[in-house]
Amino acid sequence: MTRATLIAAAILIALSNAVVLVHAARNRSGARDSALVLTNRELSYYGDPDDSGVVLHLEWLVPRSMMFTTLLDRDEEPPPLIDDEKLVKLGFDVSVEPTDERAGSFYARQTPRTAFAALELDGPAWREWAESRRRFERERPKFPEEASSVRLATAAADVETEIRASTRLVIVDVDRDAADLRARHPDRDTVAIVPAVIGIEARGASTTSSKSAPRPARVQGVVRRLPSEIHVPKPFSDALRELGPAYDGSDEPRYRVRVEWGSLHEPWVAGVEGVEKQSAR
Amino acid sequence: MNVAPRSQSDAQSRADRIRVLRDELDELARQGVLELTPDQRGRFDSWSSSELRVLEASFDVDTSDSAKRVSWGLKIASTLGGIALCAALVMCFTRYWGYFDTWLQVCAIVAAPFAALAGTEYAARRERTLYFATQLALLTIAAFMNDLVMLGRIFNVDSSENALLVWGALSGVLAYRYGLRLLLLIGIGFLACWTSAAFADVFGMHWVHFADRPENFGALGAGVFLVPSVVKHERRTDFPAVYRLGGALVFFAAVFFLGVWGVSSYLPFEKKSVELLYQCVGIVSSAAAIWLGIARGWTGVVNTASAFFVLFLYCRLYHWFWDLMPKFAFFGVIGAIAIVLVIAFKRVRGRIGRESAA
Repeated sequence: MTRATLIAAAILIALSNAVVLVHAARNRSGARDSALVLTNRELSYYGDPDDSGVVLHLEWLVPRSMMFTTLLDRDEEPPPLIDDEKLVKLGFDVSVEPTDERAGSFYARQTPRTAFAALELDGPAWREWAESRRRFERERPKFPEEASSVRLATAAADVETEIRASTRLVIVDVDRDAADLRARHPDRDTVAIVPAVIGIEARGASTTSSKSAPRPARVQGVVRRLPSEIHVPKPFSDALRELGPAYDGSDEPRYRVRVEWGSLHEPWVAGVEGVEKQSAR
Repeated sequence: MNVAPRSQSDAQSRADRIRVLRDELDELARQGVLELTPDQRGRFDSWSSSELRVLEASFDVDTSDSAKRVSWGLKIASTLGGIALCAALVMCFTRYWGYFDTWLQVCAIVAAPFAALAGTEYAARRERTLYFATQLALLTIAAFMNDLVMLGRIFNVDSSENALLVWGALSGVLAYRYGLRLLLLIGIGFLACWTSAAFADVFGMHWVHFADRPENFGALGAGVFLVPSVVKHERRTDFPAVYRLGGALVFFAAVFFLGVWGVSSYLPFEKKSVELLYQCVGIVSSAAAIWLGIARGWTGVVNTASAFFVLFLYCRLYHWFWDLMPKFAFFGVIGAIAIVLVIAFKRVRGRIGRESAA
């Protein structure tokens, strides 16, 4: 056997590693794209006995989700996050009317597209979501067993707890071009630009409430995927591992994590603070 | 003309032919049909023993039925052992890597595939049967996969389809270096996935959705099937069968998937029309592959195509008759068709036997 194939195999392994390491270095060199201080509301830590690595899961919301807008009148309903113009810019074909009988299979055949999403922290979009959640609770039809004021007060308190525990990261915009997105959302301390995968779907007409008018059939963009796992290196991981994954029921943040996104829109943990046994800033 | 075998499978089939010839000469002598003179028989026995010894020494072939059965056991144990070692490596690393500093994590995961590659080379030089080399080659691929996945995780690098390309390339290089068919099959799988993912990426789709368009795999399967027609394998004479098997599996699996889920097709037709079209394509192409396999003596192709032919046929029958007839009648029709297929295959086999005898 000649040594050529053996050397080729070794070079292949070495080159592949070099490409990944250079890519990571490029992302972290130069000016960072954004830096956000997130808490356990936005970054969940579950822990796994078979995996000693510490990974934080990025939690995010899609605003204007139908869940809390079903009681709104049509004219109160906010515009969709990904409208037809954006869908076309992302490369989707929206030439078939959503009312067309072919719409279901036409849009189901369009595979998701790569794009970028703007994640806003604790901004107007999140406050709008929180208010729509409260309004939904106030205006939703009540069950007979909820007649007492005590029960209603408990339900309202539960909603407040849910809002306080909820992530404040909201997808506020998407675009095929990260630079265009950054130009529209220039605040690098509250808005992170992250890679995303956007799909398209056709929804049939629906009536969701006696108060609101029937919603017409529509075509909408859907965020299918964001890279939502962030690895925590030592020494930051030690503190998080000691803190453990269990939720202690407190409204106070258990940890604050400074996450920075680099020039290639990939994140890294730059600091952890607020944990009980501090091993980092 | 005596052509020296180039691969282990060539050597094994030559050893099998010599053993059969020796047994048949014994049988012919017992029946009084043909009896060699003592001198001729002595020279034949001496030649056959010498040939078998050479083949055994050079290629470690099995020279008896019981040795063959043990070899199969060794192959299965070697493959399963290799897979278990891969799982052990990945799980061991995952269990402890979080306690190391980043530089140590990187050193460990980068060093692992090099160490496994060195081990594979050492094992291949020490044993001709390559059982341990197979295990270590599988471990090399697993260590390389773990390497790139963990590097991506440590530095939060967004996943890329190019990992499939380098994993497939390494599998292919190891397969050709050591003559490992399993590694070639794995490499074909990785490269088929990468080609489909790269194709998706060109059209602005995310590579993770590479399996959403089975037609990509159908075309790739056909391409892989044709590789041995374009690339001659004079040294690795057992590799063309792997290409044909891998290509046939990928092609028929893609056509079958399109036959049951037409919405994933590129074709601008109604879902039901697409499904009907691909079910028909499946039946016709698998029947053609059976014919081609019989004509060329490609056993793997015949078996794979036969399995898919039955699958396509039953799928079509289900669409035609399931709602139209009572369940017992449906299964009765299936049974009747199976009987017809058995009769047809027996006739084909009989005709081949007569042609061979002539």
